[in-house]
Amino acid sequence: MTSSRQVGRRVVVTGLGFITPIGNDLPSVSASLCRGAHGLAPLLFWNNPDIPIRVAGTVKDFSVESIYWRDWRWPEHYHIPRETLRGLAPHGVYAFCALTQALEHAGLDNDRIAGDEWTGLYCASAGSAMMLHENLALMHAANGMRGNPLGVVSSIAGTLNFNLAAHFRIRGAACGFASACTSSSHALGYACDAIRLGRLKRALVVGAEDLNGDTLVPFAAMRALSPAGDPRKASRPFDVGRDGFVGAGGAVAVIIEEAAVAGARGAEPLAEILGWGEAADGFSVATSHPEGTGLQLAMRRALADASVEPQEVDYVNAHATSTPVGDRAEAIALRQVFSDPGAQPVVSSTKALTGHPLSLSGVMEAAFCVIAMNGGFTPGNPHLEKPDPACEGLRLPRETIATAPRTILNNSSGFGGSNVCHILRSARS
Amino acid sequence: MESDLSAAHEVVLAALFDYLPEGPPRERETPITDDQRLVEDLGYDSLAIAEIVFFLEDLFGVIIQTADLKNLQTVGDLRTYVDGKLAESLRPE
Repeated sequence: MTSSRQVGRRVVVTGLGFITPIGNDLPSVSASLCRGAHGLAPLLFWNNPDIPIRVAGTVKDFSVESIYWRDWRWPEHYHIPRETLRGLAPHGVYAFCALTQALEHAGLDNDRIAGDEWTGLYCASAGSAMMLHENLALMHAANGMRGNPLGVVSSIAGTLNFNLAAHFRIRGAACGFASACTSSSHALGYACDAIRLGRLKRALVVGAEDLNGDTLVPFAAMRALSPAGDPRKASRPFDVGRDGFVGAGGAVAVIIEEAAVAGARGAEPLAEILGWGEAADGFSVATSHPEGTGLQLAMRRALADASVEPQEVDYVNAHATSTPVGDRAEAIALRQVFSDPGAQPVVSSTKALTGHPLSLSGVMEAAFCVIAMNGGFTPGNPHLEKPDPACEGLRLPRETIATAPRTILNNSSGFGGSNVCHILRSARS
Repeated sequence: MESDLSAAHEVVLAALFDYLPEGPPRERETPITDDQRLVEDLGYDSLAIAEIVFFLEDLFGVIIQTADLKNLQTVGDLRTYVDGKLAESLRPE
């Protein structure tokens, strides 16, 4: 990582776009975050009520259950041309809408982006298991002799960057990240570095995931999901009674720019990304190190990269997904990093409200942090009833706090022991 | 047989309209004619042509070889090609 303090190029956030379980635009997401209103709803997969998944973080006002784009529906104010639609996965439709919003929020029209050699695209999704499975099933049925010509680009990991780069005529960079639940955190971190290093002046960072049985039911086989039917019980990060995560889908786009470039075009910075850090557990394919050693290292590296002391951090948006092992490891890691006197940030996991949208989580929660800074509030833990003893000493308020955090740490952890943390600072200070 | 091919012409035209790209280089309202080139005049890319081929193969139960695609430059080429394939498939054993 290259410190912005070292190279003198600062990175600011200038636009946000949301298609999430708690809202499909910035005002509705902000209201849900502030009120502690969740976006989880009952959902039946594969018409089998015995599958131990009762609720999920659903995306409203979209219908993308089919593998055929002609069946899809989305809010009509987004115009998706058919030559773009043909290559999309369901989460690509969400992403198109989120990115359109974010560009508009940033005051950037498509003509300014198209063909610009200094604008890059950094994406994250796991691809579409549903599109891959169904398109391969069709090919197997034809004994390999026939298949959907768009089957590859609409399904494999990378489908987001292929399609968005083509539609928006991206020239600076087009890439994708696949580190499971840290994917979009990596995308945001490396996009920041590209700007700090002078390789780009602007980056569009997009995370997205499908929400369907092919994506989510395999996690039930891992015994990673909560079987609870009450959303307040199903997703309750850090609670002693938590029993697994709740899946979710959606898309979030964040526009970041070199501060001088944003300033020159008169864009209002919404926040500054001071730095980031990553580290790995070196421990397990799927579970966190019991003491969150990789996460501790990632947090310390992010703080060092940002030249921020633990005492300066007002709020931690935790990764905590409501799994017994993961939340405990993160709580222990937080207690280690914020052990000094005066280092007492508010900690909350907004996955209580959204569920866990896998690759999308990191950039979604970074965007939530920007909303909190500008909205004058700090999100609480509305589903937390009895904190796990491992959380002793952490500030885990249940209710929203009516104070804007100035400096925020945003955590993400994923399969393979991957850990990524960002440090954001309010642009208002 | 003639009436079958006439109907097939209409279906090929409908498929071409359905997969027509939006915007330039051509206005959608302009009628599609046999002399128009699929790529240069109508704006299809290779993927759109593959989609049309996939659709026509499914609809007519024929197989269009990849090697033949390079010879299908115009709307007329495509219609003549589909006619030939249909005639083959309808010919008595």
